[in-house]
Amino acid sequence: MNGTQEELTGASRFRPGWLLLPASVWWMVFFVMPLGILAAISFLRPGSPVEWSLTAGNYGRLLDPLLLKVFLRSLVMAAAATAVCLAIGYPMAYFMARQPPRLQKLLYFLTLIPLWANSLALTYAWMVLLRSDGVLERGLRWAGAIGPADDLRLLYTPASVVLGLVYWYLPFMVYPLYASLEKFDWRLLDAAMDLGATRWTALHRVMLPLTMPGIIGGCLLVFIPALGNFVVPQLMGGAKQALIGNVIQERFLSQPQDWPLGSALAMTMMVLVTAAVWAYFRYAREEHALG
Amino acid sequence: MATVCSSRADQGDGRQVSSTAPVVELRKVSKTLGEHRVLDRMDLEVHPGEFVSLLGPSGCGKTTSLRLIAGFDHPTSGDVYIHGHLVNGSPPYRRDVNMVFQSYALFPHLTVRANVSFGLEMQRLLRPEIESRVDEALGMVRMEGLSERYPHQLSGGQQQRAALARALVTRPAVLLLDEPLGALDLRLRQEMQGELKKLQRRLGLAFLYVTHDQEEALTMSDRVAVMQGGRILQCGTPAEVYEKPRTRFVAEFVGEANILSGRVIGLGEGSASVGTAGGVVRVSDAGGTAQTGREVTMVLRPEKVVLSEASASGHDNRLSGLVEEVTYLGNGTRYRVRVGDRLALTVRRQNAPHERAVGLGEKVFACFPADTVHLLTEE
Ligand SMILES: Nc1ncnc2c1ncn2[C@@H]1O[C@H](COP(=O)(O)OP(=O)(O)O)[C@@H](O)[C@H]1O
Ligand SMILES: [Mg+2]
Repeated sequence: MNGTQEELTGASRFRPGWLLLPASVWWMVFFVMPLGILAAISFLRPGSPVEWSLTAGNYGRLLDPLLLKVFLRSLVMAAAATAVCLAIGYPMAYFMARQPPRLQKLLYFLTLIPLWANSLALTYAWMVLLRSDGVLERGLRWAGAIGPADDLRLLYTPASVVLGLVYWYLPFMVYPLYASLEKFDWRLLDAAMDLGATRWTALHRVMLPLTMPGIIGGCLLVFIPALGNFVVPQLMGGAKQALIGNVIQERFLSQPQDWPLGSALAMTMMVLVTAAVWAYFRYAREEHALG
Repeated sequence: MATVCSSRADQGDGRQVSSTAPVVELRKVSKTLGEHRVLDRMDLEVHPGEFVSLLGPSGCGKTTSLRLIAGFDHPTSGDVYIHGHLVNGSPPYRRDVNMVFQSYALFPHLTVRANVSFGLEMQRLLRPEIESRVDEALGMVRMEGLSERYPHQLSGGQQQRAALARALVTRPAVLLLDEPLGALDLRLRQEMQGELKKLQRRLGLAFLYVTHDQEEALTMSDRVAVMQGGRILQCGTPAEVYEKPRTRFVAEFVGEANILSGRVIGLGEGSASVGTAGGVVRVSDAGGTAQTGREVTMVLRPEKVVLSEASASGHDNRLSGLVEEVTYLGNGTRYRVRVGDRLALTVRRQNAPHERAVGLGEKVFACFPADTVHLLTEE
């Protein structure tokens, strides 16, 4: 094992630099350039859409209590969506990984399907289902579970936003979890129970720590995009549930336009998320290095 | 026929095994997985302090029987007893047995120390007691210096020791070992065989030891149960199983064997003469099972045969033949001697100081006493 690893790193040391050229170009065009433009705009004065003079004031304007409130709400919503995704996704991935290999492939394929459908259309479908006098209420009314005049007000609530986000991002939680559970050695659960652990203790003392990379990966893949999602809060949250993604979108697209503020907001979000992820990986590495 | 496997008070090698109740007992245990009958009415007893081996080829149901005892699986029919209590439905964490898994199943995210203390933590012992018992267990397997390592930082032999310590530390009634030395190279395996046996004796712990290596089973066990296709074919002391195999499969699986078949042509005082493809063979028949005209199968171990050049007298059996193969084995030599058109004997000889080498193509006599030929009683 060690030998192979050394050989691999040894080989990469002698790889000529020009082989990296296509990747570097790709990186520049699709990643660095848009980011650079965004960063540049965030330091311009607001105009229509911008005025060509420099300022750092846009970042100061972020401290607006209204924005902070939206930011906080976004964090809570994204965290709630992540938690629900984990709570649903872990048992799902566990169930998948315990099936015979052929069935595993089929289930994996099935979880992919929502990704092929248009997310926007699916979100509308949820609205049709949940809205007042929608499919769900009519069904319940027909079954006699609610009275003819009852309005459950399911849509346009924080819960409906979380539901929309969960539906949108659940696959992103399931894949990393499935990937780490698929590699999990099930005999370790036997070993733990053999030594006196109940099934629950075995899951929590052995399987949970060993699938932690999948858990972290899934949470990042859900939390980060959920934080910036603007379709779900707009369609399923209504005006009162605006999230940070909506604010950014509006500053770019709706009157009065304010590109510099939108850019500053986007940049700040990105820096915060990157810093959080970096801090986590640093912490994880140190934790591991202790061993 | 399924064979009852229970120990006698005297183990033949002089070792006394107490006649107290068995720590583990299987009664007519069958297990069906899918369409496949993996265990078929298996009976087995393991007594306190006893070293019992399950010996059989891959796929014969050895691991499955351990899993039923540990509680990872449950029998389709039949009963499992631990300490005399029926445990058929009870989960692994309520059973006073521990398993050393094939390829160990150490917890990769825990140090050796944490692996070993896992079972004690589950028993909710106090920290000082856990620490001292972990140290003791690590000492027993000589792993004191490596307690802070992670499993992936250990060699195969060290992982094996760690797994053993983890299973020993909770002092179970019986240790189930699933080919614990299977992944080690020959030298280490032989060394560990000795150590395991010593440890087992010292702790007076019952071992149920799974192996497909007949030599391992013979050298380490008080009793060996030979398995095939989900059944125990024969169970007895190593000497019994080796010297008096009941079936052809047992004879061939437990060591090298010449299988001679023929028809009984004469009966004597506790012996019989059998016409074989290599000539008439005299066989002792203490049980008196032979009848004239009956087809019988006999076993002759290669090391019981002496090769001589002259037609020396003084042997019950003397088959003349031609040496058609000579294989040098280091400590001995294996000959293949053709004694008839349809019969060649395998003969094994130690390379002793004054032995004259027998060459290829030489004409020899294969000589062996009647009481070294064993009549098989079952097919
Ligand atoms: N889950 C299962 N489903 C069907 N057959 C199985 C299953 N597990 C094991 N078997 C079969 O049971 C037999 C015995 O397996 P095992 O106890 O592992 O044998 P051993 O340990 O002696 O090599 C094998 O033939 C194996 O193919
Ligand atoms: Mg096995």
